[in-house]
Amino acid sequence: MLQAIADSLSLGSVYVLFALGLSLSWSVLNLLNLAYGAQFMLGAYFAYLVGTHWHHSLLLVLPVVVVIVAATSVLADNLVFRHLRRQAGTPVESELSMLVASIGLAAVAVTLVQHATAGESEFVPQTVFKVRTLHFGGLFRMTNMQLIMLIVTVVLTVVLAVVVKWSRFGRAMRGVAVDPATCELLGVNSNRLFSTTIAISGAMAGLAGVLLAIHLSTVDANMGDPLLTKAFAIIIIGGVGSIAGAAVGGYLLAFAETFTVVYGPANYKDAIAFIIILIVLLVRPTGLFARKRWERS
Amino acid sequence: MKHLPNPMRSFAKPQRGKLIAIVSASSAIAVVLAGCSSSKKSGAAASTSAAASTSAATGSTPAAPSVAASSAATGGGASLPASIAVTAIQDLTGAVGAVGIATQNGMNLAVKEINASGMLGSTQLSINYKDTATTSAQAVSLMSAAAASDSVAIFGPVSSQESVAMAPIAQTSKVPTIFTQSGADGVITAGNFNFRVTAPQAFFQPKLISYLSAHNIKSVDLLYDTDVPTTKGLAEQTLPPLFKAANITLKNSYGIQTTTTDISAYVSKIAGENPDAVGISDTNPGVSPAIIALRNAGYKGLIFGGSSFGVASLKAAGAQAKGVVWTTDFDPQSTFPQTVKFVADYKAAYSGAAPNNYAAEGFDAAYLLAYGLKDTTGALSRTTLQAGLTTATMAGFSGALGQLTFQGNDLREAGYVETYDGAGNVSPAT
Repeated sequence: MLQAIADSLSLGSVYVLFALGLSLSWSVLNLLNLAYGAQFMLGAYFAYLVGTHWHHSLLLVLPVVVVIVAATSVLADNLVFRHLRRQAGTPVESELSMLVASIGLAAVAVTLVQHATAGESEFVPQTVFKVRTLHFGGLFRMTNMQLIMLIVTVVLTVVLAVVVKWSRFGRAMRGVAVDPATCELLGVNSNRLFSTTIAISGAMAGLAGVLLAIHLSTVDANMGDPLLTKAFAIIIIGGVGSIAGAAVGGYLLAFAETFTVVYGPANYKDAIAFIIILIVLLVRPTGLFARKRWERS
Repeated sequence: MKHLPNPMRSFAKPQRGKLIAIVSASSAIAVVLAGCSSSKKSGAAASTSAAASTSAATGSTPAAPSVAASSAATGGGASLPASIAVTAIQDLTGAVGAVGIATQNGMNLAVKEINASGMLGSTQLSINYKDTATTSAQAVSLMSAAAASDSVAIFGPVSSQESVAMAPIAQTSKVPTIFTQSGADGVITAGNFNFRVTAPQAFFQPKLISYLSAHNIKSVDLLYDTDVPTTKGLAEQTLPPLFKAANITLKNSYGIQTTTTDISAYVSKIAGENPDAVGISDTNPGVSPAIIALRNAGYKGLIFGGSSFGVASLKAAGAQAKGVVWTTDFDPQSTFPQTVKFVADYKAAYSGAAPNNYAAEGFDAAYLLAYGLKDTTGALSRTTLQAGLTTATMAGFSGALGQLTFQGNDLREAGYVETYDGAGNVSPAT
């Protein structure tokens, strides 16, 4: 049982760590960024590149990769999303056009990496971080990376939730999402705010990419897509608009999957997990933590 | 009038920040491209050195083979045109892109040798590649287009899902199609215009079972990919009766999807059951992560696998993959003359990179086409080429995989059991 709980926390951390940045951009900025999986993959790929060619530890590789991925996100916003927002006539048009553009951006990134790796999977060398198994009194075990991911996930979730809900910056973000015109009149530069939020979202994708590349022991051009699908489910379960909800949703899904594997018919893991999601949505259509009306910010 | 506080005053900074972001991101893209040029991957270089052209755009119209009205070039009993361009519908990107690229490398090397040696007289062979992106719908679309074109033959992809869908089209269109890998049922049985230059893994599993028995393996667990027909078929249909016949208890089988990212729960269960051996029937990206997860969970028993195992798929696991064994149709250390020559030529052509079984299969597939062209009688057409290929398979030939013999249109061989030393080296398992 304890090992199952440990595995659930590990799997949940994988899901939530990936989903946090997407939740930020979708919940707050109305940007359903389908390039997020590719950003995550870029984080993993740059961790492999930097780790392989520079032979530095995680303490140096992580911030470098996070900055690179954040910068690519800002570049995407400046070159693509900003123009689409300006040209769109209505918010719905803006959302749809950015969604479609994000699909294109993802395809470009995946193709570039696929070409660079000749389709082969790579890995982050152990010089960056050596994964070790930790035994907790013989009751259960986790690797050091699983523990790091759990701690980082919890801390990031709390920090993000607090910033979005209570900080001046968070209020500005939510204000721009609801009514950018009024915010502009109040002196808020919505484009700069959007870019900053995108950069934070990209940075989180990069962070997740580095940590998960080490945990999953693989860097593959297509590694972002499966997690992207799960992330949408997690955000919907938790309630679009709630960072904490996304975290709870992620761990709930992880527990459902893990306990099905351990105690139930393992081959039906995904089916049972999504039945649980359906039940949650039937009971709470807007998600566990959302308000009655579906409001993203 | 009191000014309202600007909550975003910290963002009223000059454009410097944006410029830095743009420069950083541009540098990132440059780093990615630098990774392309300094990479040990040699697929791009190899494809330009062989008489082949790669068409990355999907659905593009393939170049029609240039068929000379008359030609002095002869190959066997047929009067072959001055040049023959065939279509290869291959998985060059997507989930099994690495496998497809390795196959392409082998094919390109073979085409280069065939043309240089004059095996087909003065006829020059070339291949137009179409990328399926490892999606069945795209593969079928490309197959339909190729079947409707002038291509006298087609090379099929490595993915079983795609090949099973393409084989009936090959048969109804009567275009000879040569597959590699594609071990699922329904490829060869679609008809006599389909050929396969990879023996179904079921034919060399008995060697693996013998190895397990010889090493006192009494119980096994299986972890396999349910989305790939080959791995699913092996785990659910082929291996269980073989285990039973060898008095090896199959404790449990765990099917996972290709998209499953974290297998901690499965690994914990397997480690808890502690079988004598664990079989991993998965595609490349999942092999090392599964081995690493098992070892980190404390599992110390034997790990075995199939043709997806190899230096490329095991390198991430490093020392934790020491001692794993697998069955394959290609032994790079074989002393068979054609294998030795293939390994040396491949290394010379691809910057010292060692070939794997996929490259060897691609190489032999291209040679099967060449032998089929040589054995074609009468004017070259799809039908006469099919007859020529049938003659070639009946005779068999020496290839990179060894001495190739066929049962009908399907390769047969006993295979090898290989092992990994944890440091990048593969050798026969003893």
